[in-house]
Amino acid sequence: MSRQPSFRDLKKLSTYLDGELNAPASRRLEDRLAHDPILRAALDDIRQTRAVLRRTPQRRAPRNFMLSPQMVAKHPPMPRLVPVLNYASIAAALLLFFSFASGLGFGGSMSAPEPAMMEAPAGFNIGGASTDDMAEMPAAEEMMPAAEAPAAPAPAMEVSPEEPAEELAAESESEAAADRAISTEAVVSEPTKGETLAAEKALAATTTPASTPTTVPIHETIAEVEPESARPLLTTLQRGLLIAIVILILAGWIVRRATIAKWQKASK
Amino acid sequence: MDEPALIRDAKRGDLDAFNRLVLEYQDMLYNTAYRILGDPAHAADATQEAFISAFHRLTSYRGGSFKAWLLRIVTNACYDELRRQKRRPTTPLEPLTENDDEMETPRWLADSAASPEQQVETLELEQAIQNCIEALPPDFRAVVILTDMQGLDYQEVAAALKKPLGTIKSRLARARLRLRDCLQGVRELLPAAFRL
Repeated sequence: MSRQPSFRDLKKLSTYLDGELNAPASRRLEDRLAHDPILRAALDDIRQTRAVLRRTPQRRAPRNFMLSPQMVAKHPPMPRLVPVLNYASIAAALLLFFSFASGLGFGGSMSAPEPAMMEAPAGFNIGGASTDDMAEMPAAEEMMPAAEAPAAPAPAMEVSPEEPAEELAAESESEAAADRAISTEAVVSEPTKGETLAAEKALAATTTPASTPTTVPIHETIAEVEPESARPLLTTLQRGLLIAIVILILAGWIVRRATIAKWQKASK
Repeated sequence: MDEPALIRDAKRGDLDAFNRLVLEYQDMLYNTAYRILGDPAHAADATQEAFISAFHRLTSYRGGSFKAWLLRIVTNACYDELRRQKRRPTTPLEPLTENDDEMETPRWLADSAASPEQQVETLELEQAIQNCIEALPPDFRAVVILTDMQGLDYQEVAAALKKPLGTIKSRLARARLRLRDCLQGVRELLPAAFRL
């Protein structure tokens, strides 16, 4: 039964007409053409359209397009400003690279030690809890995601509701300072028992005395430390250099394009 | 004309050798540019740009159809011109006909043996076809011009336009269908054998 050809059929007809349809598809199409007058009519239409296009009168070139030596000069003279801008942008890029390489402008210089800081070694007591309690405390690494999702604190590390908020803040600040001081040693080796006790005493001196040993939750410590470590990625110097590089490159490009356009106009 | 020898010399920087190639291909390139852009002045600019670009890029020609290679360059030059026109639309300085076409003396009508009536009919036919071509989107226009007017095969057109073969087949089919519908509107201008 004949029906209007789909675009898929018409595309096949167009491709078939140009001899670009593969042999099996061509045979199938020819079988269909033999039994489908509408498809044959569509093929005739496309054939005639192609014939009209092929017979379209050709236009002659209105003038001679031969090239002169001036037209093909590859490097039109550039103003002195262009190489100056190029060298300036290279110099700025080098300065930026060295600022990163030397770490002078590192905004997050404290961020590197953070993971080590958070990995409290076994036996090291942050909040004054006894070492027996440490067995119940989850590992420091497991506390990291809890710290990032403050809505889900670890059950064993809940803060006592009686502690005032300001004391907590002061506590955790001093503990963070102590943590930082201790963490560098923790990277190298586990602290000895004597060091652990000394650290505990230092921390105990700054903590509020309480009847029950309160452990400042690590995730709160982490939460307090995090804002401090959220320093800008780039310093002012680096930002300035980056902006300078962009402006210099852009200026060089603009001057180059304007010169080429002016030269091409003059050479026509 | 020994084309490979001319190309070899042109690659070495021989401008005279390249200019002989220019003379050989300038009608074809200009025609293609005119069909894509629909304006003689812009087509001339694009053609000149294409030849300059071709001379500078001769080292990238590694054999194969030199015609297809040139057509690729002129098509890109036309696309650049279309983008420029989009950014800065222009108003023609030449007076327009009632169809808003720029008046021009049809010097390009090469057949001086044709009678004035035949020349007018040819002019009207050519303009009607050009109007239908210009109604196509630029991507469809380029495909049908390169295939049906310049005689490139599908592979050459795919290489010239940097599109997959399937896309070329699809665009060509759509372009032909749209042209068929458009040309049916001007069938009285078409030669009797080609009336759709």
